Amino acid sequence: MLKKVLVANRGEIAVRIIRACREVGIPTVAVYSDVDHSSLHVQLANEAYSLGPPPPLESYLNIDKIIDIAKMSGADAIHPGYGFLAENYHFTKRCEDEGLIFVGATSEAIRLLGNKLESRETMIRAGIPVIPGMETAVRDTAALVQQASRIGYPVLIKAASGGGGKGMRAVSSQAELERALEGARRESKSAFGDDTVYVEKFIERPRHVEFQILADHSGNTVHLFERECSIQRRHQKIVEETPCTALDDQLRRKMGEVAIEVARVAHYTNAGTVEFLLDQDGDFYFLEVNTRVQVEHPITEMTTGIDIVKLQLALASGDPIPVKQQDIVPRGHSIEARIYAEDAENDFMPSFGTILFLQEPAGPGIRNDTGIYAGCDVTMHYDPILAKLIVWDENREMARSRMLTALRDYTILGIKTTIAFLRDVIAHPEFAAGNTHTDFIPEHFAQWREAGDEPANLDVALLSAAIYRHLNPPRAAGRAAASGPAFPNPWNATGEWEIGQGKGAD
Amino acid sequence: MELNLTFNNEEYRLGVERAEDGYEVTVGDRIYQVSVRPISSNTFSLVIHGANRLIHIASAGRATYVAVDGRQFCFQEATPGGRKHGTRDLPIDRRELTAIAPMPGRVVKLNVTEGDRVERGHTLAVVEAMKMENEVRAPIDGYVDRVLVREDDMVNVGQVMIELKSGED
Repeated sequence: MLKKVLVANRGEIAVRIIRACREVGIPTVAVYSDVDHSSLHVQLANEAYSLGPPPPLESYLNIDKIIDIAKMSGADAIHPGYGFLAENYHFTKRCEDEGLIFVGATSEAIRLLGNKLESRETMIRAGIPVIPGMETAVRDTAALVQQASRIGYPVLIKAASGGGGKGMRAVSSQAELERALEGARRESKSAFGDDTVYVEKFIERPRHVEFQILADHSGNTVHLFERECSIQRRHQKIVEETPCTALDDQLRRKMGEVAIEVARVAHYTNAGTVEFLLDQDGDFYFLEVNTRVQVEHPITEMTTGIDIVKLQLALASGDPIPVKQQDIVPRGHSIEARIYAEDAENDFMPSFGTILFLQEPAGPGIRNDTGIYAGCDVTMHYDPILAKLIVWDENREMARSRMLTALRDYTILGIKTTIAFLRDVIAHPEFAAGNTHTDFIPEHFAQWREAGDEPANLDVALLSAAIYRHLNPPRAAGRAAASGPAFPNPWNATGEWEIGQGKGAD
Repeated sequence: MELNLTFNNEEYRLGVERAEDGYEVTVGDRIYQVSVRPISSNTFSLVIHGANRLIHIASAGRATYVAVDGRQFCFQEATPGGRKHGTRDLPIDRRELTAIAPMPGRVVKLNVTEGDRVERGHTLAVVEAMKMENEVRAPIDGYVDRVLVREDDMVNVGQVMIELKSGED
């Protein structure tokens, strides 16, 4: 077993990993940038050390500092979470060289699979189906333009070191290509420290279907079935579910076998995700391998009963996979909705501020993976994910209904979030029918506005605000906000006005 | 007590009076008899004309946030003196001559300098936050009159970044 794990991340995933470590009795070390000094992951870890200023390159991407803290604190392993250094093979190599266990794949596997072009060539040689596109990356814009013309528009620009949609641009004509290239390169440089991009054929209205894989150091590889992640905004997933409504047993078995083959070809170890695009004819193409724990891993945990993060820790310390493929039998249906600090009415612009009030849903089959608390600040420095709401139930329709109810009971006040938007997505008849594809959001929710299911809600909200303001004038509220998380209690202060309690509640 | 709250650019006039059974609240010309059952400092149950509604509420400065049945509203209290800087303060005919920050963030790229000729849709600057880039485009054909930000500057949403002037000049 690992002795002490440094979690080189922040937010909900750092919290998730720290909780898993606590449950198996491994002490944890948190790291944080200045703006995260009182974050949930810092509160939960056994030890916490500052990384300094907030910009990612100086904090959560600062390899030297993180390695120094690992050594100084006596950690023998580093869990990178997702994002930041999770798929940076230089970091993994550094861990290997310094004698630290990296909870994830080897640097060689991450290097190969992180290089989209090299992994593509490797997969083509192994007979894995891939999307038509460039065979080599070129820095020269003229050559990229030429390649795009050869493949035929529409094309997709992708960052060679990328993931999560960063640096990705769909381009429908040559006129748009040059500006899109410039933006994609800059975004890629900022997110991954590498501005190499390539182009491939853009497949219209595909489904995004991925398989969770697990591999140990003795060459045993299993898959934990699929997740469908077609509901995306800006090429980033916001709703995921398992099982996928478009797979029958035969296709599911075939894709699972290909996923395992991909892992074998790459000499993969630990947890990973093999992503495919599934087109409307039922043909599927290898997209990439995410060499890390995936944001949406909980839905697989809900249906298979396997704790992926705990297994990551066990596999990293050299344990074999404890289950055989035929013993992994998923049950029921699970859906995840990602709660982002974004304004869904305004092109999903990030929203910042202090969370003034938080109430999370609870109940059977409801799981909430969160990195926030009432009183915490959401800053502009990092990915705006706040929490993930995950539900499970016997079948898809029941899970969908549970998700709608849970989202309705989820309240975050003080910043804009995607909660109301997610409710409308999950309530949409096309989602209910299982007709999902990666253009679902632009197609059905282009100019989305929060409807407010009843016009009377606005009046109720207005009169509530009026009463609250009456009891809690702005000056007092301003002082309270400035003095931190201790909220004033107007109900205590006013004493005798508690009239009519219970009246009319029948 | 009377107050004006703004929501989605609409202003609502509200009045709150103590009544024998709680409050009488007027919203525009509608009158509600409301009793309040407190639950915690940010949560209460309202009984309005016999129906029970669970409310979560919080405020910061002049903003009040209210959640009703999972829908969230953010109201701004009308300010007696002065408004925040931004395009809303500008006379209508000036608004279309400015390029404003689409979100709070850092200016990562500035493509123009004063006097440059620009076409509508031309990318004037790029603002980045949370690793997401947003292009600030020219709203009109014209010339760059004033550049009010520099690369690496932090900007707020709605902040005027670049002023343009139209046509011939």
